[in-house]
Amino acid sequence: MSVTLELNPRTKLAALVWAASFVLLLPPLASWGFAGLVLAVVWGISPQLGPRLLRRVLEVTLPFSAAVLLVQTIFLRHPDAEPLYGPLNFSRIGFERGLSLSGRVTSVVVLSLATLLSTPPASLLRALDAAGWPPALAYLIASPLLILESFKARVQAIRHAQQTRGWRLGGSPLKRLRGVFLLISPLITTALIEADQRSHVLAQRGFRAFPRRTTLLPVPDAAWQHWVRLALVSLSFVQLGVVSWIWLQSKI
Amino acid sequence: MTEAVAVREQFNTRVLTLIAVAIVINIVGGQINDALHLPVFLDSFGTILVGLLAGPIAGGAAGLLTNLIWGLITNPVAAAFAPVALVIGVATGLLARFGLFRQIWQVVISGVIIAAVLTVVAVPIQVYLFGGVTGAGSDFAVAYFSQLGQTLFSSVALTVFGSNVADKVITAVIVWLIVKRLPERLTHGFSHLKYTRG
Amino acid sequence: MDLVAVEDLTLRWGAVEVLRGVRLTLAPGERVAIIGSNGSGKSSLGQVIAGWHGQGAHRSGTVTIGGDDPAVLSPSVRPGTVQYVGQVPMHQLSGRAFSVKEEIAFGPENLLLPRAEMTERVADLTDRLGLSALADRDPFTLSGGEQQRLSIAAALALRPQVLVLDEPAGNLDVAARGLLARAIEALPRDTAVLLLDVEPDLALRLGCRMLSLSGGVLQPFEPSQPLLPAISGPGDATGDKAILAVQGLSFAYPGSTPLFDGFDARFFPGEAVALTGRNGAGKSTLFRLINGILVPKSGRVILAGNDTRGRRIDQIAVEVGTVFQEPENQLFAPTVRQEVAFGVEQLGLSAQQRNLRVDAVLERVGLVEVAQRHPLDLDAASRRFVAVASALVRAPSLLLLDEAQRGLDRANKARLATLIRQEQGRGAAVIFICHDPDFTALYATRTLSLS
Repeated sequence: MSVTLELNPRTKLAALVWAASFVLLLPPLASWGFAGLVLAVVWGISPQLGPRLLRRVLEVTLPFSAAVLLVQTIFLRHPDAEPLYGPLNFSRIGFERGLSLSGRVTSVVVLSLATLLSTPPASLLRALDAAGWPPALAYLIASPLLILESFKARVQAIRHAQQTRGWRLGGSPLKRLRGVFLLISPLITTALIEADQRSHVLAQRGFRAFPRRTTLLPVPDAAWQHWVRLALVSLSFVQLGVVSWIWLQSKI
Repeated sequence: MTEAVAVREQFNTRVLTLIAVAIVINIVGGQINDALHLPVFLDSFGTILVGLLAGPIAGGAAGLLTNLIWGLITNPVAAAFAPVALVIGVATGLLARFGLFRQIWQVVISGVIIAAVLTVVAVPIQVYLFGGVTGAGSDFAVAYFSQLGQTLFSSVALTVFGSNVADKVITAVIVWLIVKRLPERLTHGFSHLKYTRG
Repeated sequence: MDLVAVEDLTLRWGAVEVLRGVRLTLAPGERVAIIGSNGSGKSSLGQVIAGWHGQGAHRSGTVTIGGDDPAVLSPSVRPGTVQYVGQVPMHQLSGRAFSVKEEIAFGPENLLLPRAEMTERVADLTDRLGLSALADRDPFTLSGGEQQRLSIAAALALRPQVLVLDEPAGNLDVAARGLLARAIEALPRDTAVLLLDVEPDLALRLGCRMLSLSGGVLQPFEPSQPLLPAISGPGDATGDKAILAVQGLSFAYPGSTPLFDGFDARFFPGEAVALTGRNGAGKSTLFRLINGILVPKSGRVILAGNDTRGRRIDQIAVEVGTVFQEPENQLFAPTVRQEVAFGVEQLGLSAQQRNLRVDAVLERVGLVEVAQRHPLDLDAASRRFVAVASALVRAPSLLLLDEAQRGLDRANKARLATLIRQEQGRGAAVIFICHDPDFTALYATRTLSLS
């Protein structure tokens, strides 16, 4: 796999922040081009990742892009609106705004998904540990990811347990509302039991005995990556400053 | 190391593991609704639970992180609405602190207040970052209100409040009913609960 | 000089006194077992020794390890002093490690140990606890037995002076028990072990000094405990009209080899059938095919003469009662009585009939005294009986018990067997999944082995 996918996860995050703030500076059509470019680059680097990325991006952005274009172009009453059919009208301002918003959102989604799909959560969290981030924060990201599947299975188990003692799934809205209680109550109480036990387990294993922790499996990092991160984050601040200034100018 | 410090350490880690399971409860709450087909989200049980047990800061963290993790595993757009989830937790913790989670009628009012507060935070995000839509079914409501002559801002506000108010009242009432009856073994150490149970 | 010293320890939760005036000592490297029935306070004692429940109104007396109260030891010192491994395997995982080796290294990572040291400990412990082949697996995808061995490895990675093992085999099947026992035998000799269990078998095998705990009071161990009693009742089917007939049943989970391929079986009134077979043989799956949670690929499930195909789970549940392994997955009501009553609400009886039924079942299952308590305030065995009661209250003609006897002490096993016999006597059929050969030999009218 190429060097970009083996960057330290923190470097990738910094690149993501820079690129996301850069998108805000781009004109509408260019943001679409930027999204395409990032997709093409990822596809070129990893032919396995490319198609997966494209599919995920389309799932997320197609409904949104369609909705924002329709609402902005046809339903909203912009100053240049021309009657189209019945209560609907067409607005070029709205169309351009829809195109710009969907372009930006698509770009940011492409960037985020490219980062996520190429970074296993485990390695991201190891990188955070290695960098001395607070253990509590990494825990709150890691733990939900790890226990999610067992909770999904438990929701099923709870549902089946209630049905096998005669509870009918469905019925009137009021009955279904009672169903929410029958399903969520065991989920919450079992979760509290689990959380209570786990808090003791963490404490007895020395969790947060020190303000930082080490990692058994180190994540590769290099001095140059440190400087790259610093540059990317600084540049992001500059870009965000420029974006805010332009926005304020347009409001005055 | 004094006793007080050791106990505080214990408390912190307890809240931490509570927040972790609460995040997952938020995420799988939608799965419950897949089975029941009710016109509500059911995705903030965990946030409100933490708000009641551990207060506004922990509740806010549970909400914020739920959306960040949602962004991580399914849809990055969810991360943009993380501030909305945050205020749900903060509002719950504060309402409980001021004794508005003691009687069922108070809990219903608290649910309405939570929906109102989250609307204030959600609307600017939805309007300025996403042009007023989210790509979900509620976009039809935004289009409809716009047609009635509402501005985009008020169309989105009406839609967000309308689609959240029943959800937050139901969620608040259910979590309150569960929390109120929990045995001591499970609530031991959650100091914020005293404001709810009196 | 004693390593662990417990003096006059008393612990209460709410109004319930869990431990009363307990005195106990452990020498360095000593192996001590405390045998106690369900709800005798073993877990609470183990947890207090591990420093879990700090000082407060609910605790009096002293607990020291090497002269210090474990509850107030510095967070960096306690891990190397005492470790407690509890009963539910998944609850012992940190929820922070994405692989088995990182789970073992979790404690050492927190204590900032040098990497070379961590690597060595992880290699030693994966080997010692038979986890080498699993080193890169996600801990949450392991079986219960594997998770239990992993939790012990993760505790040992901190080199504790005392290791508390709470019913370490309670949730495991026979094969996993054997592996675990061998792992415990191979524990480092300088670690003192406090084993808490309902049965003395494992403790005797490990050569522990034995004590017993009853009603929160520690006593000398009485070696000659009574065996499981024989309970009179039907020894064979009492009717010849099958309650359940499974015909030509075929089923496979997506992407797996078929579990059932043309399977036939019939169950008659008055029978108590033990369903046995190794893990993954399809015992729980067969239950799910019978009670409608799963739908067979082909073949028929016929209940009282009617095919169940096309019927909803709640409709099938009029005839079939199921008790699952984890009662906590169904408990939602604030009192035991309301929990049990939920089962009859759906049956269309008058309020008076409902109350009569609930009272009768609470009496029969032995839950009258705790009827107004919160189900989650009860010990694990009593919670199991709440689940049994909520199935029995519906008077099913077929009762399915998924390892309902597991982790129960002798008195509670006999209590469960009595209920099975009563159901048989009523003309119902009972099928129970069971890994306990003694229980099966005594209480099954026949055994059905799946392979």
